[in-house]
Amino acid sequence: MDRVRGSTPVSRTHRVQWGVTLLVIAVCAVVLANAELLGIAADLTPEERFSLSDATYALLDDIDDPLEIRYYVSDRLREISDEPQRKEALLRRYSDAGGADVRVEVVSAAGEGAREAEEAGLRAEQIQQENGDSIGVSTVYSGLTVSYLDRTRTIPFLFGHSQLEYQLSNAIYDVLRAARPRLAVMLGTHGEELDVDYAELVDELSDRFQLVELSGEQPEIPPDIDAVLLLGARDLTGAQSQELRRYFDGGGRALLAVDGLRIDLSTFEGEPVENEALDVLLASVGFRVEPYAVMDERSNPISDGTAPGGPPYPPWIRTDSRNASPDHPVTRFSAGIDFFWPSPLRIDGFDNGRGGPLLVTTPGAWLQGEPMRFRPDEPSVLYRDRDASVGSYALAGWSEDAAGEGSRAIVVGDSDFASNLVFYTGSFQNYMFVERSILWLLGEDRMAAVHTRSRLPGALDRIEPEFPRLLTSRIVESLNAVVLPVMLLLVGYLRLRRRRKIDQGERA
Amino acid sequence: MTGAYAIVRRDLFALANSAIGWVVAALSLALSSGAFFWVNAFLARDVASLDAYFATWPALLAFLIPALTMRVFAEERSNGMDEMIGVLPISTGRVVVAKFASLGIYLFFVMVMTVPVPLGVSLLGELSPSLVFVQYVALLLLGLTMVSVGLFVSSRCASQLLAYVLTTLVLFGLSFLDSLPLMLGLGAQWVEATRLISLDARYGRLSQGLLDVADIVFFAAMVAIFLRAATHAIHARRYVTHG
Repeated sequence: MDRVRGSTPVSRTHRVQWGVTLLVIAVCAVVLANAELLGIAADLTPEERFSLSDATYALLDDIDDPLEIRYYVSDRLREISDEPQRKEALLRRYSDAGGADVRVEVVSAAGEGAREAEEAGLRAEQIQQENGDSIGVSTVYSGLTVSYLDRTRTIPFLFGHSQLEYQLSNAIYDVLRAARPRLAVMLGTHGEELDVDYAELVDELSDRFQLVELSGEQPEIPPDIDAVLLLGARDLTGAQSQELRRYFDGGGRALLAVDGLRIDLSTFEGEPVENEALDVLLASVGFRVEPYAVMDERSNPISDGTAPGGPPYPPWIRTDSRNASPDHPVTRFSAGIDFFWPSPLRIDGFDNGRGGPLLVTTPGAWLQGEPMRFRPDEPSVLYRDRDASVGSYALAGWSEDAAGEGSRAIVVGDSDFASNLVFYTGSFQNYMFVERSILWLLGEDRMAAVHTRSRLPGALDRIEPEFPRLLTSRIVESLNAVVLPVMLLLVGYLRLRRRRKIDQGERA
Repeated sequence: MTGAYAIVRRDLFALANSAIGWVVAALSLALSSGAFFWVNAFLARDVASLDAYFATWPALLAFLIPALTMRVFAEERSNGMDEMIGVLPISTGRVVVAKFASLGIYLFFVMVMTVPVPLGVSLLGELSPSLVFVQYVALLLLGLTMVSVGLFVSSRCASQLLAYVLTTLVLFGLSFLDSLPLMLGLGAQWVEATRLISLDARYGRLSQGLLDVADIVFFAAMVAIFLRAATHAIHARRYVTHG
């Protein structure tokens, strides 16, 4: 065996081969870098998770003057997750779609950048991270500002990539408008106060809309109001009901959060709401709220306050994209909402219009009538009426008087869904539902349907009765995890045995 | 090409006549399905999605592919077959590509055997065919890349055991490369740079349903580089032996 040294043809061949290898690496690196920048990709997700919505493209087309997006992000976030990279990729799509008018700048939120972020109104968040045996805490920024002419909107903190398009497109929508839309807020339950019981909602909406609270005694809706929110209607007065009907007759648009029951939280006992003014109002927009509580197994757990989680609590229903109507702008990309002791709705729609459900329960939901008892420590009572009433129930719906004045209504069978309870259960998607609803009421259908990327895959609901579903599942599991592998081993064994016999025959 | 075709046929025949080929295929199916249906509580989660199923494959392949690739060159080297390859009237590059192709075909066969999983799940809930297609493409690209890494390591080792251990280590290293700068306390730039060449990060992006040219180029480049390196190693040895 000779080792070949020196400048022989062989060593030259080796050098050429190494050169080719390095060239391949270099070419691949360049192609990789450019492919990253160009973002050449096919989005094959069913909900087009990685593509911008039509509404965003239309919005960016409307921009006539330079619009600047500044994304502030801490290096620490880059180290622990690829979220910042994914956000930057999405921001690049904005800049590509917006052309020269849209400028995106990524700012490292360290030192001067952190000071700038603070001044812009960004919120620092603390994140915990394991470092071996200890847990460290870091303060990080991940927010952005959108500036257009003399108007600036700040998104103080972006938690996930999934809602970036929704938040950013809405921020752009807001800065493109010279004036904020005016919303009138009417309360219809005794003892509730807007700044107390709905403080979180007010905080959420007041950046984008001018809120005008209507007095209970003289609930006159000013003519320059763009939409109305009715929050709670257990004690809706005749005057309030009449004013809202007058408003609808003139083409009014309102979100009505109403209840079919009243709960005493000291005893967890409930009673049906009997309010004719409410019934008449709902009938005028093609709805009826039934005097029952709806319960569903897909529910939020009720916590005892000492630890998160707990046993499921059927009167607190968690809906998600699987319970949402895919045909309506408000719920097309909705993450669903959380309901607290909701009531079922009957939806007929306006006399000359149309309407339908927005959010429904699972088919396994049930009702509870009188006596209504909701104590979490008495689960047998919660399931009491299940067998007699199991089915799917509408919890939120829409109606539109397309033939008349263009009135629009969204009715939710629960007023707590927008109350401060949301803060305690972390159901912040409820506020997004309110925002989308307002946009639809304002006639901004496309904006109401801007993407969020948190749409869940479908449920295993193709086979509905429990037993055949379970049986099919067991067959699929066993076939794939046991039968097929065992069959492969068997075929392999038989083949090897046959081969061995042939070999033995040949040897003989 | 006839020579390369002969090697593909010979290797496939050898796989079909060896216990390891059947055992690896059966283990792949049993472990991936078992983890998906039972460990991840498929029915209880009530979600018509194969995300969890495809998420189990990178770790699984990192253990199983070395069992296939360890024997390719290391075995031939230990039993002297490499000398026979050395005198074949075919270039070293073609030999390596032929061996890669035979393992690629085998991998494709294993993936075809997993098709009853999406078919079964689609009986219970609505799956997105386009998403499942991308997830299979991602799995195939990941598998082929791992095979090319395994072939390279096998080409450098005389012992099958050493080839298996080294390949597994290299595959885990390449898969979770982006965790290293974090553990060492290096900066964000290092994390992002290593994420660009992490097999797991690339596979994760693809299997979410975004068929990105960058990811496809990455996997193709990895295959090209490792096959090239394997060719170089074999060629050098071949020349040393017969020079």
